Amino acid sequence: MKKADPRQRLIRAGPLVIGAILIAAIVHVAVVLLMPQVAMLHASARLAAQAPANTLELLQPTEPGQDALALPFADPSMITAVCRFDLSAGAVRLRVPVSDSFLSVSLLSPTGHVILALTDRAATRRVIDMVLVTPEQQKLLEAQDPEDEPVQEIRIRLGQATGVALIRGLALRDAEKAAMSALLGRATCKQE
Amino acid sequence: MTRLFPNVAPILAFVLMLASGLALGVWTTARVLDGGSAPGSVRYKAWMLWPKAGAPDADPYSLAVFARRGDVPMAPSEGLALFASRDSTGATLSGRCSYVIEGLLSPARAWTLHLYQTDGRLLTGPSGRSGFTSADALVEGTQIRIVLSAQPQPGNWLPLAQSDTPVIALRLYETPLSAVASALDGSRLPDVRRIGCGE
Repeated sequence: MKKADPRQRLIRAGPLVIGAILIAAIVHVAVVLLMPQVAMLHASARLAAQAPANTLELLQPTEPGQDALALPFADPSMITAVCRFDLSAGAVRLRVPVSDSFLSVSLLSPTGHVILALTDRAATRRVIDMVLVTPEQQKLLEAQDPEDEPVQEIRIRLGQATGVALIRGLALRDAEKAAMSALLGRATCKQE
Repeated sequence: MTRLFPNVAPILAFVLMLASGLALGVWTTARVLDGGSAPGSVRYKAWMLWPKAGAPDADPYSLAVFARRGDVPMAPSEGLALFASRDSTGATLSGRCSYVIEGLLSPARAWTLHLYQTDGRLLTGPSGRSGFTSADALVEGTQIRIVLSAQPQPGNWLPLAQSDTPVIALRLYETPLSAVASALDGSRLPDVRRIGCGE
């Protein structure tokens, strides 16, 4: 058999090269889309390990040099509390008192996606009062609502029954950390 | 060889195609996610940011980047987080050099600036200080000036060790910038400038 000339070889290899590039593209899309599901160390997984369901847990202030950071690249100026919520047995109420410092409540999906974030600006009478509900629980609650006065609490309807609430308060000076820890210590996360 | 086993060549070629496709896919994905060139990321001078990562309509690339890093992105309502692992010329930050973070600071309710190791742990010098905040830094008007150096410096100084490869995180809490983060005016961000290397 005569040896194929280089050009013919190239033409024959063409489909294989195109095939390899196609496979690479599929792998790329799959890895990007599946990363939140498969990355076991994503934020929700790390935080969920810190707290039992439907109870608020104050995390230790991230002190300089300490390796006990719950999250990488966390802001050490933030005092953090977490609540792993589970709505399967009922709605969960989050009450977070606020001060003059910046404070935020973010809800994370089980894969670490930020579903929603509120700041202390959402507080009424210096408390952020949120009720996390499933669509069915929302209907039940609305049926019980009094008709002549508005509801004070912020109701948040979630598509998923589980997730993590992350509460962070800013303490810009070391001297403010104790007060912020005390403030977050008064926050509650309870099943209704 | 091909004459003895006429079926081997196509199978071999197919396996080769499969393997090289897999390897190429994994390699490019890792490059894109770690290198900061992923869609959804924005670069201004030294700073990298993922404006949509903490939004409910976050793009899959930003979600993948943060799932891999394992931290929680800041939501636009909370503010804007900027990260720098390089100086303004694009060179990787090193403890063997000194840097100055200098320039205009955008309006925000509060800001913090901290140094981290590349794995996300805090970088604290012997003084125990890892950063500055809007409450404890010396600021002139809207300008900040923070020096990172192994040698003590006057003013706002963050100590580095020779072996460090620091990552700077600047967080602006409640800033109007988060609304326009994907089309930011880079001149409104401070520079990370190298001021010297070695002894």
